[in-house]
Amino acid sequence: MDLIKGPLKGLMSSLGAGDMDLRQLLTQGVNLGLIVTTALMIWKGLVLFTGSESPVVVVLSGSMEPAFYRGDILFLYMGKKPFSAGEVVVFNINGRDIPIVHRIIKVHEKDPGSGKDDDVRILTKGDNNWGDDRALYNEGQQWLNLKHLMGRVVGYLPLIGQATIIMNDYPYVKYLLIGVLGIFVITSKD
Amino acid sequence: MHTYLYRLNTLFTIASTTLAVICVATSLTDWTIRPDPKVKLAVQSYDGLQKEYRNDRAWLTVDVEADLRSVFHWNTKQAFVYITADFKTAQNAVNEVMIWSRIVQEKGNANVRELVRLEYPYALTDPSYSMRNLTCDLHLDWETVPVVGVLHRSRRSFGEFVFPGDYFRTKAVPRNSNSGW
Repeated sequence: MDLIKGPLKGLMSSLGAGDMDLRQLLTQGVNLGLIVTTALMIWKGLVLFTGSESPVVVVLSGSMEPAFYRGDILFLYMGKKPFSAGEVVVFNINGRDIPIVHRIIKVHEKDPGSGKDDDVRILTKGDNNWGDDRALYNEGQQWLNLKHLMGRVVGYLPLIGQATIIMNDYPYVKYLLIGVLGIFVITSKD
Repeated sequence: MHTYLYRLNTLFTIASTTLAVICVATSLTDWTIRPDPKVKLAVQSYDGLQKEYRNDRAWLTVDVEADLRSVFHWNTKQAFVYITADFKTAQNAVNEVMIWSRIVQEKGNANVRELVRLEYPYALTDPSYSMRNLTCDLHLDWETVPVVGVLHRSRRSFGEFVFPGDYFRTKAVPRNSNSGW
């Protein structure tokens, strides 16, 4: 134990928490774990409740301006309702990692509610784009099907996503923030 | 060091909680406002009906009068106003096509009057080639994007209209329009 205790004590004292004993240290560790798992639970709960694999997304492009700007946050909901023209949806094109937020301008559906993937044919367009999205889809792809769709936009929160964009553009900001928060939790004494 | 960090932390927590509560409260006020927009929509003329590479395609002129000033309130950032046509064919039980849209950002511009002609990228098309004699519904829809909160969608329907029984085109149809998008 002393093997761990020694260096840890040293670390703690250098952080200004030298008077902590091991029991306290472990409690803080458990607290940290609790925070991480709670966050994970909330996220997974949201996934379950909204039916969308990614219930909160950050807008990364200006193609839906002036409704949504880069750095705005959108809340998604999948639901069982059929998709209709005019709805803003988030979709993923095969072979690309970044999901796209655009508006549906055409829907053709063979047998609504059948749940069969290629029964539904959808065409989208960005509000700020002159043309429809066929130029954006894979070569030869005319329509989106159900499998491409990740959810419809139901809620909007401006600007807050800027933090995510900054953290993505400058990863060391992210590490710094996580580090500071971690030290916080470990050294807090209640 | 600690007291500083703790104070900052507490301040940040209170600030973000307050902000979240204000955002939710603001968003809830949406439901206290009952807009009553005056909306009129009518087909003025059928300009063409043609068979293209991938679909049938119709050309119309639609007369829109929409006074949406009452949908604007303090939590409205913009209204996306659009016309959809929907119809049933033997092949597809649901067909919905947006044929026109307009982004309105200020109350002052919310009184929309326009003679709508179909223009790219909007096209009234049917991939099952069954637009002749087809019965179609027209709707005027508007979606409001809030400053913060929930997006709302409303719709008014304007009855059915029936396409002519044969392919034709008038001068209103652009000459080079047979690209089949």
